[in-house]
Amino acid sequence: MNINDLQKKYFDNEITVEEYIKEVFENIKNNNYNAFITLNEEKAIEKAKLLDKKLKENKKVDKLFGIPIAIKDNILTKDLRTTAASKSLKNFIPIYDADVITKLNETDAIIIGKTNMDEYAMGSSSETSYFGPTINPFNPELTPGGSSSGSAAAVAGDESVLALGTDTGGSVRNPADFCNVVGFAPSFGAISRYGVISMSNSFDRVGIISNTVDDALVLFNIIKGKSKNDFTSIDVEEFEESIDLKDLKVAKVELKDVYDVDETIHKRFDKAVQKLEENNISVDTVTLDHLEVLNQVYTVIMSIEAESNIAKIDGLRYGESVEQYDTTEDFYMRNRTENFGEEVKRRLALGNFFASKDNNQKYYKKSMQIRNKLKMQVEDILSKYDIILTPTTTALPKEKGKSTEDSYSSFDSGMFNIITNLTNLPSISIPMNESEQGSVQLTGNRNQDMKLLNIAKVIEGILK
Amino acid sequence: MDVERYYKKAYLYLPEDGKEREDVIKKFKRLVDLADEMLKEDTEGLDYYEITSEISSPLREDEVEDSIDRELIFKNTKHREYGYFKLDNIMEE
Repeated sequence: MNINDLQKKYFDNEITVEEYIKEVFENIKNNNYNAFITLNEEKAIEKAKLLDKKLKENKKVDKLFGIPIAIKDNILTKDLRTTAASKSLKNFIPIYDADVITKLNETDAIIIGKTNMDEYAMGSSSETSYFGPTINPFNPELTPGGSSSGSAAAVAGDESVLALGTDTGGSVRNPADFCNVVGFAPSFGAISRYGVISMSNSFDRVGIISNTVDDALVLFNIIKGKSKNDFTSIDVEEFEESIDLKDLKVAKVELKDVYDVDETIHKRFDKAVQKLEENNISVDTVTLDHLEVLNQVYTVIMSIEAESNIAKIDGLRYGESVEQYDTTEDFYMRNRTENFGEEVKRRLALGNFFASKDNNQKYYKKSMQIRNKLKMQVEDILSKYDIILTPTTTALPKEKGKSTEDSYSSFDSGMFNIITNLTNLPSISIPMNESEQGSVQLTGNRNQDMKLLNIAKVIEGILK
Repeated sequence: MDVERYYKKAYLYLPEDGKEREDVIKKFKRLVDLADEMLKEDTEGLDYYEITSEISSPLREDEVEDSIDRELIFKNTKHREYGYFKLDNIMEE
């Protein structure tokens, strides 16, 4: 379902908002995809009734009229439980809304509930969630990706039309790819992060998951923009030109053997590029340095930042706590040890190691040098081309349960996703084919998100 | 490498069970080994990335505003006494 089709049904009186929203909750209960941690059923149906009344009285409606939206469970919702899929926050009720929720509450959209995810957004399979893994509606035998697994599954499984996720190293685009829907990670700061539980603050961004690029564009137009609550937030450039295919300049990153791109993805990507060329789009091949170690660069910076951000979850200020303890230090250590999962604990300990003076911070320093070089290289390419094209992931989704065996498996397919987060640029993932897994990722210039989305609409049309 | 040291610094205990503990250490070292590969990249002469280079943070107007209600602040904690967060022992040997 997409926004236009659903609203047409409302406006043609084929279905009421209340009927549709009740249908959505029926789907959630019958599907058993475990896409949601907490439902907002009562308030959603209450709002649906108000919207039906509004329509009946011919009052003005907005672009999100009657559209269900699912919210990743690391985005704060006042009075609605927000857990970040962690045992440590299993009873946490926020006292304020994130900026993005405040904006949504001012529209005719309907918040369906809080979606499942990897714990504190650390993971790429949903298998680190305290509330159990999400099922991939596209293929239930495979993982749905992560960390915004529930958001992608909700959209793919007709449990919502739109969803919000967060993207620190591909956490919107990876599950969108694995569930075969659209995933958009905007420029760093394009959507306010006020009220979003931080993981890695120089990478984190709020992103959008939808069935079409058009739907992502509609939602982005409403939630984007500078906020006084988030000093990293920005206003992106508007874009009102039409896209002429023959003027479009696309740079395709060379898929070197050392990147270990899955053969099936490689073939599907080549086929997608061929389709673009058949439509008179000029595609040149470019190379980027250090790509083969980008996962490590990401791991180092992310772990260091996450360790600092999650320090406040100590069982006193935030989080579940134990009844029995010996000393203050023991109190904090027991709270964190008993209420964090293995992946989170590993990343926090790694953050300490990588930032430690024991090794003269050599890992962090090296990572920041590579990050700077990559940023300059990518910006140089984007001064000559409109977009950079890559596959979204380097591997197809793993079978369920296979992600926990190797500690590297949380990072091993995200090399191309990470380019976006390391360089502050916007990227969008679009399925290459409606019936097969595998997506292309388009990366545009910083602050030119509207241009990127308009190009993505054209490319989505060609690939379909 | 003393993995336990870095878990402790993050206020975390390593598992006591031998096999589980071994597994946690092995998975930790696997990621450190991969990061060691990154150290081999030639980056001589390259500048460091600066996180704040594009960000400005002007001071807000100095205006008095209502602060968050005390009751709301304590809504999510079990450890409260006399309007403060409470721990059994603060001063220790």
